[in-house]
Amino acid sequence: MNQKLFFTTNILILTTIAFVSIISDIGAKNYTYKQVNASDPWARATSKLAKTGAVYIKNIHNKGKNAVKITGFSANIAKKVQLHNTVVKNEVAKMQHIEFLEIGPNKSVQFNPGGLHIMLMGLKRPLEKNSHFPLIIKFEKLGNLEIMVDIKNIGWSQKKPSNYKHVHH
Amino acid sequence: MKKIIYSILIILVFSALSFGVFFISDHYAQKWQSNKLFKAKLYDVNGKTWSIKSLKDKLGIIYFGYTFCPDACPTALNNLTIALEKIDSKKLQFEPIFISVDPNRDKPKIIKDYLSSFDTIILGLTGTDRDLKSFTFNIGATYSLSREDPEDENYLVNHTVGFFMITSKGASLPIPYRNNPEDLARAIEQIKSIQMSNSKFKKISSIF
Ligand SMILES: [Cu+2]
Repeated sequence: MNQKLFFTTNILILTTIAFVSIISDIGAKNYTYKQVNASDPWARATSKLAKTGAVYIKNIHNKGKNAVKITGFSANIAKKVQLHNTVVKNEVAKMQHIEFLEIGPNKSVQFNPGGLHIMLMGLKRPLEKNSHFPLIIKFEKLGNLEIMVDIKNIGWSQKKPSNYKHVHH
Repeated sequence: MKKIIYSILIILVFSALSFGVFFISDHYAQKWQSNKLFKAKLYDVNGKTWSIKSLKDKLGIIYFGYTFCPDACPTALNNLTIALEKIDSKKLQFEPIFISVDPNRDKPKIIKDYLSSFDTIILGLTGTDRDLKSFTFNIGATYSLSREDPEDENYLVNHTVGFFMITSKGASLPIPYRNNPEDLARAIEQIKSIQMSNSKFKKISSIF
Protein backbone atom coordinates (compact mmCIF):
# COMPACT_ATOMS: atom_id res chain seq x y z
CA MET A 1 0.00 0.00 0.00
CA ASN A 2 2.64 2.44 1.13
CA GLN A 3 4.91 1.46 -1.71
CA LYS A 4 2.13 2.02 -4.21
CA LEU A 5 1.53 5.50 -2.84
CA PHE A 6 5.24 6.20 -3.01
CA PHE A 7 5.29 5.01 -6.60
CA THR A 8 2.35 7.17 -7.72
CA THR A 9 3.76 10.28 -6.08
CA ASN A 10 7.04 9.64 -7.80
CA ILE A 11 5.36 9.30 -11.18
CA LEU A 12 3.44 12.48 -10.47
CA ILE A 13 6.62 14.37 -9.58
CA LEU A 14 8.42 13.02 -12.61
CA THR A 15 5.66 14.00 -15.01
CA THR A 16 5.50 17.46 -13.46
CA ILE A 17 9.22 17.94 -13.96
CA ALA A 18 9.01 16.71 -17.54
CA PHE A 19 6.07 19.04 -18.18
CA VAL A 20 7.86 22.07 -16.74
CA SER A 21 11.01 21.46 -18.75
CA ILE A 22 9.02 21.14 -21.97
CA ILE A 23 7.25 24.42 -21.29
CA SER A 24 10.45 26.27 -20.50
CA ASP A 25 12.06 24.84 -23.59
CA ILE A 26 9.56 26.46 -25.95
CA GLY A 27 11.36 29.27 -27.68
CA ALA A 28 14.57 28.80 -25.67
CA LYS A 29 17.72 29.08 -27.74
CA ASN A 30 20.97 27.49 -26.68
CA TYR A 31 24.38 28.01 -28.19
CA THR A 32 27.01 25.55 -27.03
CA TYR A 33 30.71 25.66 -27.80
CA LYS A 34 33.19 23.37 -26.07
CA GLN A 35 32.53 23.81 -22.34
CA VAL A 36 30.35 26.95 -22.53
CA ASN A 37 26.66 27.38 -23.19
CA ALA A 38 24.87 30.69 -23.87
CA SER A 39 21.08 30.78 -23.73
CA ASP A 40 18.47 33.21 -25.06
CA PRO A 41 20.43 36.24 -26.26
CA TRP A 42 18.12 39.20 -26.92
CA ALA A 43 18.11 42.95 -27.44
CA ARG A 44 15.45 45.61 -27.22
CA ALA A 45 14.31 47.13 -30.46
CA THR A 46 15.51 50.71 -30.91
CA SER A 47 14.05 53.77 -32.57
CA LYS A 48 15.20 54.84 -36.03
CA LEU A 49 17.82 57.38 -34.98
CA ALA A 50 19.26 55.34 -32.10
CA LYS A 51 23.04 55.26 -31.83
CA THR A 52 23.21 52.58 -29.15
CA GLY A 53 21.66 49.27 -28.16
CA ALA A 54 22.08 46.69 -25.40
CA VAL A 55 22.29 42.90 -25.69
CA TYR A 56 21.23 40.64 -22.82
CA ILE A 57 21.91 36.93 -22.38
CA LYS A 58 19.72 34.93 -20.02
CA ASN A 59 22.61 32.74 -18.95
CA ILE A 60 26.19 31.88 -19.87
CA HIS A 61 27.16 28.64 -18.21
CA ASN A 62 30.63 27.14 -17.89
CA LYS A 63 30.24 23.38 -17.50
CA GLY A 64 33.99 22.73 -17.58
CA LYS A 65 36.45 22.03 -14.79
CA ASN A 66 38.46 25.17 -15.50
CA ALA A 67 37.49 28.83 -15.40
CA VAL A 68 36.84 30.58 -18.72
CA LYS A 69 37.51 34.21 -19.49
CA ILE A 70 35.47 36.45 -21.81
CA THR A 71 37.85 38.98 -23.33
CA GLY A 72 35.49 40.81 -25.64
CA PHE A 73 32.62 40.86 -28.10
CA SER A 74 32.17 41.86 -31.69
CA ALA A 75 29.22 42.48 -33.99
CA ASN A 76 29.01 43.87 -37.49
CA ILE A 77 25.94 45.90 -36.62
CA ALA A 78 27.90 48.35 -34.43
CA LYS A 79 31.19 50.21 -34.61
CA LYS A 80 32.06 49.48 -31.01
CA VAL A 81 30.95 46.62 -28.73
CA GLN A 82 31.75 46.73 -25.02
CA LEU A 83 30.86 44.79 -21.92
CA HIS A 84 29.11 47.14 -19.49
CA ASN A 85 27.62 46.96 -16.05
CA THR A 86 25.01 49.44 -14.83
CA VAL A 87 25.76 50.20 -11.20
CA VAL A 88 23.42 52.16 -8.95
CA LYS A 89 25.22 53.98 -6.17
CA ASN A 90 23.64 56.71 -4.02
CA GLU A 91 20.60 56.64 -6.33
CA VAL A 92 22.78 57.47 -9.34
CA ALA A 93 23.08 55.08 -12.30
CA LYS A 94 26.49 54.71 -13.88
CA MET A 95 27.58 52.45 -16.75
CA GLN A 96 30.95 50.87 -16.14
CA HIS A 97 33.12 49.36 -18.83
CA ILE A 98 34.34 45.87 -17.92
CA GLU A 99 37.53 44.69 -19.65
CA PHE A 100 37.04 40.98 -19.12
CA LEU A 101 34.76 38.58 -17.29
CA GLU A 102 35.78 35.32 -15.68
CA ILE A 103 33.31 32.45 -15.19
CA GLY A 104 34.48 29.82 -12.70
CA PRO A 105 34.04 26.05 -13.20
CA ASN A 106 30.36 25.09 -13.10
CA LYS A 107 29.38 28.75 -12.63
CA SER A 108 27.03 31.00 -14.65
CA VAL A 109 26.56 34.69 -15.36
CA GLN A 110 23.35 36.48 -16.29
CA PHE A 111 23.00 39.60 -18.41
CA ASN A 112 19.79 41.37 -17.41
CA PRO A 113 18.33 44.89 -17.93
CA GLY A 114 19.71 47.31 -15.37
CA GLY A 115 22.88 45.28 -14.85
CA LEU A 116 25.37 43.45 -17.07
CA HIS A 117 24.84 44.17 -20.77
CA ILE A 118 26.74 44.11 -24.02
CA MET A 119 26.65 47.69 -25.22
CA LEU A 120 26.47 48.38 -28.94
CA MET A 121 27.79 51.83 -29.80
CA GLY A 122 27.61 53.46 -33.19
CA LEU A 123 24.75 51.32 -34.57
CA LYS A 124 24.96 51.03 -38.34
CA ARG A 125 21.23 50.41 -38.57
CA PRO A 126 18.43 50.48 -35.96
CA LEU A 127 17.53 47.26 -34.16
CA GLU A 128 14.25 46.23 -35.71
CA LYS A 129 11.87 44.04 -33.71
CA ASN A 130 11.36 40.41 -34.73
CA SER A 131 14.67 40.34 -36.58
CA HIS A 132 18.08 39.14 -35.39
CA PHE A 133 21.80 39.71 -35.83
CA PRO A 134 24.98 37.71 -35.10
CA LEU A 135 27.28 38.52 -32.20
CA ILE A 136 30.62 36.94 -31.32
CA ILE A 137 31.70 36.22 -27.76
CA LYS A 138 35.50 35.99 -27.54
CA PHE A 139 36.89 33.57 -24.98
CA GLU A 140 40.54 33.50 -24.01
CA LYS A 141 42.18 30.22 -25.19
CA LEU A 142 38.82 28.61 -26.12
CA GLY A 143 38.07 30.77 -29.15
CA ASN A 144 34.93 32.46 -30.44
CA LEU A 145 31.30 31.56 -29.86
CA GLU A 146 28.86 33.00 -32.40
CA ILE A 147 25.30 33.58 -31.22
CA MET A 148 22.15 35.02 -32.82
CA VAL A 149 20.57 37.90 -30.95
CA ASP A 150 16.75 38.10 -31.16
CA ILE A 151 15.35 41.60 -31.25
CA LYS A 152 12.26 41.99 -29.06
CA ASN A 153 9.83 44.87 -28.95
CA ILE A 154 10.55 47.46 -26.29
CA GLY A 155 7.94 46.19 -23.82
CA TRP A 156 9.39 42.69 -23.75
CA SER A 157 10.70 41.44 -20.46
CA GLN A 158 12.87 38.37 -20.07
CA LYS A 159 11.58 37.58 -16.59
CA LYS A 160 7.90 37.59 -17.50
CA PRO A 161 6.73 34.75 -19.76
CA SER A 162 3.26 36.38 -19.98
CA ASN A 163 4.75 39.35 -21.82
CA TYR A 164 6.48 36.96 -24.15
CA LYS A 165 3.13 35.50 -25.24
CA HIS A 166 1.78 39.00 -25.60
CA VAL A 167 4.34 39.78 -28.31
CA HIS A 168 3.27 36.88 -30.45
CA HIS A 169 -0.45 37.37 -30.87
CA MET B 1 -1.21 75.54 42.01
CA LYS B 2 -0.98 78.86 40.16
CA LYS B 3 2.67 78.07 39.39
CA ILE B 4 1.69 74.87 37.65
CA ILE B 5 -0.98 76.61 35.55
CA TYR B 6 1.53 79.32 34.59
CA SER B 7 4.16 76.81 33.53
CA ILE B 8 1.62 74.84 31.50
CA LEU B 9 0.55 78.09 29.84
CA ILE B 10 4.16 79.04 29.07
CA ILE B 11 4.83 75.62 27.57
CA LEU B 12 1.67 75.88 25.47
CA VAL B 13 2.52 79.36 24.19
CA PHE B 14 6.09 78.35 23.44
CA SER B 15 5.07 75.23 21.49
CA ALA B 16 2.44 77.19 19.56
CA LEU B 17 5.09 79.77 18.65
CA SER B 18 7.70 77.24 17.55
CA PHE B 19 5.10 75.33 15.60
CA GLY B 20 4.08 78.54 13.85
CA VAL B 21 7.68 79.45 13.06
CA PHE B 22 8.27 75.99 11.66
CA PHE B 23 5.04 76.19 9.68
CA ILE B 24 5.83 79.55 8.11
CA SER B 25 9.53 78.93 7.46
CA ASP B 26 8.78 75.58 5.86
CA HIS B 27 6.11 77.26 3.75
CA TYR B 28 8.59 79.89 2.53
CA ALA B 29 11.42 77.40 1.99
CA GLN B 30 9.16 75.35 -0.27
CA LYS B 31 7.94 78.46 -2.04
CA TRP B 32 11.53 79.56 -2.68
CA GLN B 33 12.40 76.11 -4.06
CA SER B 34 9.37 75.91 -6.33
CA ASN B 35 10.06 79.44 -7.61
CA LYS B 36 13.44 78.18 -8.79
CA LEU B 37 11.68 75.29 -10.53
CA PHE B 38 9.42 77.77 -12.32
CA LYS B 39 12.41 79.84 -13.46
CA ALA B 40 14.29 77.01 -15.20
CA LYS B 41 13.31 77.14 -18.88
CA LEU B 42 12.81 73.77 -20.47
CA TYR B 43 11.48 73.10 -23.94
CA ASP B 44 9.61 70.21 -25.51
CA VAL B 45 10.39 68.22 -28.67
CA ASN B 46 8.70 70.89 -30.81
CA GLY B 47 10.87 73.61 -29.31
CA LYS B 48 8.04 75.11 -27.25
CA THR B 49 8.95 76.27 -23.74
CA TRP B 50 7.49 74.19 -20.97
CA SER B 51 6.78 75.03 -17.37
CA ILE B 52 5.46 72.89 -14.53
CA LYS B 53 2.36 75.15 -14.61
CA SER B 54 1.20 73.30 -17.71
CA LEU B 55 0.71 70.16 -15.62
CA LYS B 56 -2.51 71.77 -14.27
CA ASP B 57 -4.24 69.14 -12.11
CA LYS B 58 -2.01 66.29 -13.18
CA LEU B 59 0.97 64.92 -11.31
CA GLY B 60 4.13 64.86 -13.41
CA ILE B 61 6.34 61.80 -13.12
CA ILE B 62 9.79 62.89 -14.21
CA TYR B 63 12.72 60.72 -15.31
CA PHE B 64 16.14 62.26 -15.99
CA GLY B 65 18.13 60.39 -18.63
CA TYR B 66 19.64 60.54 -22.11
CA THR B 67 18.82 58.80 -25.38
CA PHE B 68 22.33 57.36 -25.80
CA CYS B 69 21.55 55.17 -22.75
CA PRO B 70 20.32 51.75 -23.95
CA ASP B 71 20.01 49.95 -20.61
CA ALA B 72 18.93 51.87 -17.49
CA CYS B 73 16.77 54.48 -19.30
CA PRO B 74 14.58 52.22 -21.50
CA THR B 75 14.25 49.78 -18.60
CA ALA B 76 12.98 52.54 -16.30
CA LEU B 77 10.68 54.13 -18.91
CA ASN B 78 9.29 50.72 -19.80
CA ASN B 79 8.63 49.95 -16.12
CA LEU B 80 6.82 53.29 -15.87
CA THR B 81 4.77 52.54 -19.00
CA ILE B 82 3.56 49.22 -17.57
CA ALA B 83 3.00 50.65 -14.07
CA LEU B 84 0.86 53.50 -15.42
CA GLU B 85 -1.08 51.10 -17.64
CA LYS B 86 -2.12 49.37 -14.40
CA ILE B 87 -2.99 52.34 -12.21
CA ASP B 88 -3.93 55.10 -14.65
CA SER B 89 -4.49 53.64 -18.11
CA LYS B 90 -6.38 56.71 -19.34
CA LYS B 91 -3.66 59.06 -18.06
CA LEU B 92 -6.09 61.20 -16.13
CA GLN B 93 -3.86 61.58 -13.08
CA PHE B 94 -0.27 61.30 -14.23
CA GLU B 95 1.90 62.81 -16.95
CA PRO B 96 5.05 60.78 -17.70
CA ILE B 97 7.98 63.08 -18.53
CA PHE B 98 11.47 62.30 -19.83
CA ILE B 99 14.00 65.11 -19.37
CA SER B 100 17.22 64.65 -21.32
CA VAL B 101 20.26 65.80 -19.36
CA ASP B 102 22.43 65.47 -22.50
CA PRO B 103 21.33 68.53 -24.53
CA ASN B 104 24.57 68.45 -26.49
CA ARG B 105 23.60 65.25 -28.34
CA ASP B 106 19.86 65.09 -27.62
CA LYS B 107 18.32 67.48 -30.08
CA PRO B 108 14.48 67.67 -30.01
CA LYS B 109 14.27 65.48 -33.12
CA ILE B 110 16.31 62.72 -31.47
CA ILE B 111 14.30 62.84 -28.23
CA LYS B 112 11.06 62.65 -30.22
CA ASP B 113 12.34 59.62 -32.14
CA TYR B 114 13.57 57.91 -28.94
CA LEU B 115 10.26 58.32 -27.11
CA SER B 116 8.23 57.14 -30.12
CA SER B 117 9.25 53.54 -29.44
CA PHE B 118 7.51 53.34 -26.04
CA ASP B 119 3.95 52.06 -25.74
CA THR B 120 2.73 55.24 -24.13
CA ILE B 121 3.03 58.95 -24.82
CA ILE B 122 5.91 60.37 -22.81
CA LEU B 123 6.51 64.10 -22.78
CA GLY B 124 10.09 64.78 -23.88
CA LEU B 125 11.94 67.83 -22.57
CA THR B 126 15.41 69.28 -22.40
CA GLY B 127 17.06 72.67 -21.86
CA THR B 128 20.37 74.44 -21.66
CA ASP B 129 22.95 72.92 -19.36
CA ARG B 130 22.45 75.87 -17.00
CA ASP B 131 18.68 75.44 -16.79
CA LEU B 132 19.00 71.68 -16.44
CA LYS B 133 21.52 72.06 -13.62
CA SER B 134 19.21 74.42 -11.77
CA PHE B 135 16.11 72.26 -12.34
CA THR B 136 17.75 69.00 -11.29
CA PHE B 137 19.38 70.63 -8.26
CA ASN B 138 16.11 72.08 -7.00
CA ILE B 139 14.24 68.82 -7.47
CA GLY B 140 16.99 66.80 -5.77
CA ALA B 141 18.41 65.00 -8.81
CA THR B 142 21.90 65.06 -10.26
CA TYR B 143 23.80 64.26 -13.45
CA SER B 144 27.38 64.40 -14.70
CA LEU B 145 29.20 63.58 -17.90
CA SER B 146 31.59 60.67 -17.88
CA ARG B 147 33.97 61.66 -20.64
CA GLU B 148 37.70 61.03 -20.54
CA ASP B 149 38.46 62.24 -24.06
CA PRO B 150 36.74 65.55 -24.98
CA GLU B 151 36.65 64.40 -28.62
CA ASP B 152 34.80 61.20 -27.73
CA GLU B 153 31.24 61.35 -29.03
CA ASN B 154 30.40 58.04 -27.31
CA TYR B 155 30.57 59.52 -23.81
CA LEU B 156 28.25 58.34 -21.05
CA VAL B 157 26.19 60.33 -18.57
CA ASN B 158 25.70 59.37 -14.93
CA HIS B 159 22.27 60.36 -13.67
CA THR B 160 19.75 59.85 -10.86
CA VAL B 161 17.86 56.58 -11.41
CA GLY B 162 14.66 57.34 -9.55
CA PHE B 163 11.51 59.16 -10.70
CA PHE B 164 10.17 62.38 -9.16
CA MET B 165 6.54 63.28 -8.68
CA ILE B 166 5.81 66.97 -9.15
CA THR B 167 2.72 69.17 -9.00
CA SER B 168 2.00 72.28 -11.07
CA LYS B 169 2.64 74.27 -7.87
CA GLY B 170 6.21 72.99 -7.78
CA ALA B 171 5.93 70.53 -4.90
CA SER B 172 8.12 67.59 -5.71
CA LEU B 173 8.84 64.28 -4.02
CA PRO B 174 11.25 61.51 -5.04
CA ILE B 175 9.68 58.15 -5.85
CA PRO B 176 11.79 55.38 -4.31
CA TYR B 177 13.76 53.43 -6.94
CA ARG B 178 12.08 50.16 -8.00
CA ASN B 179 13.31 47.96 -10.84
CA ASN B 180 9.98 46.30 -11.76
CA PRO B 181 6.56 47.66 -12.82
CA GLU B 182 4.57 46.11 -9.92
CA ASP B 183 6.68 47.64 -7.16
CA LEU B 184 6.97 50.91 -9.08
CA ALA B 185 3.15 51.12 -9.36
CA ARG B 186 2.88 50.67 -5.59
CA ALA B 187 5.55 53.31 -4.94
CA ILE B 188 3.73 55.76 -7.24
CA GLU B 189 0.45 55.25 -5.36
CA GLN B 190 2.21 55.83 -2.03
CA ILE B 191 3.91 59.03 -3.13
CA LYS B 192 0.68 60.23 -4.71
CA SER B 193 -1.18 59.93 -1.40
CA ILE B 194 1.62 61.88 0.34
CA GLN B 195 1.40 64.58 -2.36
CA MET B 196 -2.38 64.78 -1.91
CA SER B 197 -2.25 65.15 1.88
CA ASN B 198 0.61 67.66 1.55
CA SER B 199 -1.41 69.84 -0.81
CA LYS B 200 -4.39 69.78 1.59
CA PHE B 201 -2.01 70.84 4.37
CA LYS B 202 -0.68 73.66 2.19
CA LYS B 203 -4.18 75.00 1.59
CA ILE B 204 -4.56 75.36 5.35
CA SER B 205 -1.09 76.85 5.79
CA SER B 206 -1.67 79.42 3.04
CA ILE B 207 -4.09 81.18 5.44
CA PHE B 208 -1.07 82.29 7.48
CU1 LIG C 1 26.11 50.43 -21.46
